[in-house]
Amino acid sequence: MSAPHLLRVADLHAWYGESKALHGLSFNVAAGEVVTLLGRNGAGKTTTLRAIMGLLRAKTGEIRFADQDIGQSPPEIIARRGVAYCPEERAVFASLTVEENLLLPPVIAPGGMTLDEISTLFPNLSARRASSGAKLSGGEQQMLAIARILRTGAKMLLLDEPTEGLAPVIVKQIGVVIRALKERGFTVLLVEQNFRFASRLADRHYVVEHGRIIDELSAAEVSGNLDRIQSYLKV
Amino acid sequence: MMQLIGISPQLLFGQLLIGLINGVFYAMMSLGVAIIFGMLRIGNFVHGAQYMLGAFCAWWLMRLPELFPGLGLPSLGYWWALALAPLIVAAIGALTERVFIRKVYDLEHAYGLLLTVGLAMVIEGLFNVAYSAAGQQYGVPASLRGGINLGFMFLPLYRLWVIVAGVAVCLATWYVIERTRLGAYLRAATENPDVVRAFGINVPRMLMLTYAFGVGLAGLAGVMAAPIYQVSPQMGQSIIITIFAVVVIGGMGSIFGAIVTGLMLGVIEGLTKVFYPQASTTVIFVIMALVLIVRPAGLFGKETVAAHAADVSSARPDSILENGRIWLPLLAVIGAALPFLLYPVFAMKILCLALFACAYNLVFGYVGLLAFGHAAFYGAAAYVAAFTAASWNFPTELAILSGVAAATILGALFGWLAIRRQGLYFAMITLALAQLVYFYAVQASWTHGEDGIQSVPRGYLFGVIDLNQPLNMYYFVLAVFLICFGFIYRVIHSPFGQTLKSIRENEPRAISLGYSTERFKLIAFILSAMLAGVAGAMKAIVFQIASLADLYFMTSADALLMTLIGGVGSLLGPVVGAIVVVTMQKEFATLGSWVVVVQGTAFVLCVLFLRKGIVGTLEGWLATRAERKRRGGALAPPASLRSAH
Repeated sequence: MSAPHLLRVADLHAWYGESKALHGLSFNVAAGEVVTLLGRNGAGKTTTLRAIMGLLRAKTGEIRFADQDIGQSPPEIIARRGVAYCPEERAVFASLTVEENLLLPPVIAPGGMTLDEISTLFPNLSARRASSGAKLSGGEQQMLAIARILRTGAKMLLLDEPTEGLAPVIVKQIGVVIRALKERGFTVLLVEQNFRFASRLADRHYVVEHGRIIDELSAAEVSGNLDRIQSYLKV
Repeated sequence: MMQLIGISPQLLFGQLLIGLINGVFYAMMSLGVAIIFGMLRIGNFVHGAQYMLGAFCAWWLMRLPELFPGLGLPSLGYWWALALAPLIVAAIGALTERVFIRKVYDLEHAYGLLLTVGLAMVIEGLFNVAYSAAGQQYGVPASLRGGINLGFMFLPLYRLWVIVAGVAVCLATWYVIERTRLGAYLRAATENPDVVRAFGINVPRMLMLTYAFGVGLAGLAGVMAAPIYQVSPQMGQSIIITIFAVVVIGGMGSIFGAIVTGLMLGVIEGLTKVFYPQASTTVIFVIMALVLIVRPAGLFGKETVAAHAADVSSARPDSILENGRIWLPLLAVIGAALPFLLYPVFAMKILCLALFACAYNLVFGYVGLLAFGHAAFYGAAAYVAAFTAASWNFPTELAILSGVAAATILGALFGWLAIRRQGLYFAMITLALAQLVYFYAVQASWTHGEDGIQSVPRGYLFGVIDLNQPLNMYYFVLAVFLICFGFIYRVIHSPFGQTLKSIRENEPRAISLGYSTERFKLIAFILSAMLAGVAGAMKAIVFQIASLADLYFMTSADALLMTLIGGVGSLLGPVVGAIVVVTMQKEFATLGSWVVVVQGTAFVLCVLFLRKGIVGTLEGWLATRAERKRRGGALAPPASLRSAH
């Protein structure tokens, strides 16, 4: 791992009230990488993203982004440092139009995608500009949730299960989008249960179980270790 | 009654104008309440006090030279006040949010309401101490004196100004929220504050500014109202309940709805003054009841999401303090000894209020319904018992039963109406319905207005036991209290009570198990009203008086305070709370107007620091001690991490 780490998480512990969700989790993401967190339901993947984003305050350990400690910063500060978050539930705002949703996140740094670039990447969205966020299909909501964090100039995207519950054709489209984002220089931390989807995109994979990282594989190691990976993910 | 002939156009248009003016104030204030409720999920009960604060700011600014004689300050007139007072009130609002309101965002909505009730009591209490009830005059600014003769009526310039300016402010607010980028942030934060924060927007600061803005609107309304009404500490006290009713009628989710509803209701109120003046104080509450029957979500409201009941219980069911088989006999022994240690009258006051609090705890603690109108049941029972005993010479026990019957019927009616809505709405609706009863009692002849029904005979129990003997009266009250206490214990430990608790913990799950939860909630509400009625009727006989204070919303607040101090949802909490509150009221009685301030402070402190109440805290402490004895080590996260946000 010669490239400088953009994100460094070390010995992360986190709690939901009285119950502990993360038990000393550590991993790194280098600039320009696409890295996945794989694991079963309840392993602590979403919790890890929420902890990085600052949405979960009850935590100890180290979280560094671009060489700055963001472990105790509130979400709005972390966002302004260049981290953007696309939650699992997509959180498209129903009381806002598609356009308002798209323009909602403020630009925090230069270098974000322009609206033209975004509409090339997501052709269906521009047709639905004026409709309410509540009227979109699941796939359109997911597209919008990703699209709106691309304008802001954030360097790192935290994507929480972007393929969950979507039709194969949409999943394929999201794969295209993520590949395009990587080419454009975004760093992506992807939480996935769909290993087939993730294996075609990511440079490295971490396997999360019971709030810890139990294994790490590079893209090259995947094909020789399919059985091992299957055993981590099967229910 | 509707006599169209004989009503002069002057009277009609005059009242219409007054109605429209009131409507402007309703609109401005319900707009603020709706924004704060929408964005912060806080039922801002202190809004009335903030309106009053705006008016007083204007008055202070005018009297600056007299207030600070040494400083040579100028007297700042209306236009200065119009600019400065809302800013001052908004700044105080921002500070209030920072220090108090922020602390309760993550808690059940009930606490936000309780906190703001406490703050309103403190602020209004302090002004009462400083300025007593007398109103201060505030002149109409020179540039707006005089008026226009429209031929059919004389239109004072100042009133025209209030209507134009008020409507303009409302529309500008609507535009900002619905049509601008800032408004988009606000709307998005209402839906999902976490995600908006994760976009880099400082949502906590935005919420503070939103609160400050809503409060500033109230302050502005206060300044505009100063030349029309008198500037007095009470000016915000009853308007807030009307405002809550307006918000319920308008419905949530529509800023425009709040404005239109406010104006409309002001006009309707004005028209009622012309055609049927007796109903003018109650018409808004009647309309609220009708709207609830026809359109529970409000006139402009979107369909409401089924909200869950508030689980605010602090009790640990396995605690020794929850075991009624031990405590009922123990309370009987303590109760029997009490008159030899305390004045019987004082002890009876504790018993009546303890019963009242126990009744309230049944809905608030065990079902999780934030009812805020139990004064209606307590007071109505007191009035009916007093009236039947004094005027119809009913025997004591029959008078009490009549009172209880009245409370039960009222409870069934209120419950039937209010159960359609949940959470804060439930509180607002019960509060408004109780206010309806209060205004009825102010106007009806048999209740004797301000005097109340006095010299109620205590009579003879079963025709033989002379209740004028303090000890006889006391033991009768004690017996009734113990029976009711045992009854409540039986109810909450019956299968019915278990169902109530399951509704409190997870209503959707209870529904999916096949329970008709609304019916259970309604029955519990009626039982609670009935028991509150027992307390009220007993009170009327013991103290031989039924008065407007029994029906006033402060009595509902007392029930809440007692339950909260003692421990919500615990068996003994309301009793302990009643002892604390009654003792406090007695100890501070010499302080006069300060009592309200002390009580408000107790509210605020309880919400901030003693949410589990005395009994709940004790149960928690006992449980931790037992746990530590059993195990030794602690597995919980470091204490510094456990506090959220």
